[in-house]
Amino acid sequence: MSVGTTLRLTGALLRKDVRVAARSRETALLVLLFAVLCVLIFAFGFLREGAVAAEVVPGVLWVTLQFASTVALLRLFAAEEEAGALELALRSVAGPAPLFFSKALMQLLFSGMVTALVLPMVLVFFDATRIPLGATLAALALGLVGQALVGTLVSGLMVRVQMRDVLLPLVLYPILTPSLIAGVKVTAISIAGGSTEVIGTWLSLMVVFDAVFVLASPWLYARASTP
Amino acid sequence: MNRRLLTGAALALAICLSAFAAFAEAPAAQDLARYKEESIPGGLLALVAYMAMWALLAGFVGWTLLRQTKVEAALQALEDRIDGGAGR
Amino acid sequence: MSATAAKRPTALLATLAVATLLVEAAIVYIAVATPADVNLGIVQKIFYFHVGTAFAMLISLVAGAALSGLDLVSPSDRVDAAARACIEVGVVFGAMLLVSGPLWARKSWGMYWTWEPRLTLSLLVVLLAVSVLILRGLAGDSATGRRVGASLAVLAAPASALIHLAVKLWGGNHPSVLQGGGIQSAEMRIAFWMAVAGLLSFAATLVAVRFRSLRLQQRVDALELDLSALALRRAAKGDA
Repeated sequence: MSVGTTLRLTGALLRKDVRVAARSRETALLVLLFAVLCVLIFAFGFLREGAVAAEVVPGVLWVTLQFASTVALLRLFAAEEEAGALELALRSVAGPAPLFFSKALMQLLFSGMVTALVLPMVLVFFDATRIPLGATLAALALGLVGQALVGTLVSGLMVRVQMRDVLLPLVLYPILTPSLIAGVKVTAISIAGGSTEVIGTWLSLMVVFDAVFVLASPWLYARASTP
Repeated sequence: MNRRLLTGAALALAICLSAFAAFAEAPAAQDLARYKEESIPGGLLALVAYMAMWALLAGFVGWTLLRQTKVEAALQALEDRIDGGAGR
Repeated sequence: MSATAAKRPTALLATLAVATLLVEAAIVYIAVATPADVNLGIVQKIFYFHVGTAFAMLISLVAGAALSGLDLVSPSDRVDAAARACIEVGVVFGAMLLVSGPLWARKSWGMYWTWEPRLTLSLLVVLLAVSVLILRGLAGDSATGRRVGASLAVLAAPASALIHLAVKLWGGNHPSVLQGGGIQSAEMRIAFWMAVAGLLSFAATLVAVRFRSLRLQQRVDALELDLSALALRRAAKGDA
């Protein structure tokens, strides 16, 4: 299949997913609500009277995003699970690659939405509105792409597995560790006013992470799901 | 057959475990003086580490033995079924 | 009756004997002949078997991931069983590693756990391997379940490499593992290699035993399917 065809099919599948999500809206609401609650719980856990702990901001931000994205991932293939739709999609002219990429983009949309809500919330609640955000925004973009690539693969592999809502984080989180560590580091260093050189090292680690899984994930998905 | 092999493995582990008697060597005098200051003696840590490692290994062998017994029971049931079918 | 069950596993028994002898000899040698570490004292004697289990875990898990990849490219029951046996044994040795490591660290670094790169990596790799096994168990023995498990095992390989990279960057200036626990004399070197050889041959024996067991299970399952099909056909004939 040519690159152009793959792109066109991916676009078509993505439009379908967006339309489905826009009609029901339940997944988006669920994920956003979960993210808000997550930030609140962290606030209860970390805020001390009279002292705002700026050093917990990176952790709260990245862990909230990871948890909330997991909720979205668990619902990512929900529409395809019914009535053998996944088999039909896999056997259709599109095949696994456009399906994978459309789902990954859909996940990216969800996690981007969550980030747009969570980032200002964390900054306001933890009194961190004056910190520089440039590096953190770059890290967020890279981190969410990596998360979408690995998460879509794991979620897609587990469609038919029992107890996958418990198993998905168990598999996903160890794999995402490098991306998480790098993201937390970038935010922490930019809050502390550290060197751009160190930030660059961590960002390039995230680029490597994304590059590895943009190749490995669709290949493994195709290998594991085509009959 | 595999069962006998596994029993052998369990036995081998037991022999290995028995070798812990060798650990009961008396520490040298200057060592003793040094360890008295420590709250946790290193010899105890070493002993616990060895025990835990072999216990884990023994647990795995035991679990394998259990699985093997199950497979053999399934095989026996299968043979009975085939013999029963042939007799009919 | 069954051809495999009747075959005497002579090679296996021989490996087991060699492994037992080596491990036994290593334990006695470590207890009697090796001197206590200059800095660490007797606790350093954990080191010999600790490093051996690390080797065994690493080799088994890498072999498991490689075999899973092979199974993904050209599916075969044998390869699948071998991959699973390797990962299982890798997890057992990983657990041994994670138990003995902190006990040694308590003395040599003064604390049970530090987020030192190699510790973090082993913890995450063992977690990944455990999740692969759980997934294999839950996904069932269907062709899809097998492919899903194998894909995950393959995915764990680049993931581990990246985790290694990240935790190394992250770890910064924590104590390096071999500091103060290195080999200081010829006796120590002999004991070290004896322990490593013993544990590796023990791991190999365990993999072989699990492999045979899994193969037997596969054959029993296949036969049961055949037999059920046969019974169905007979019943259909009886009806006609």
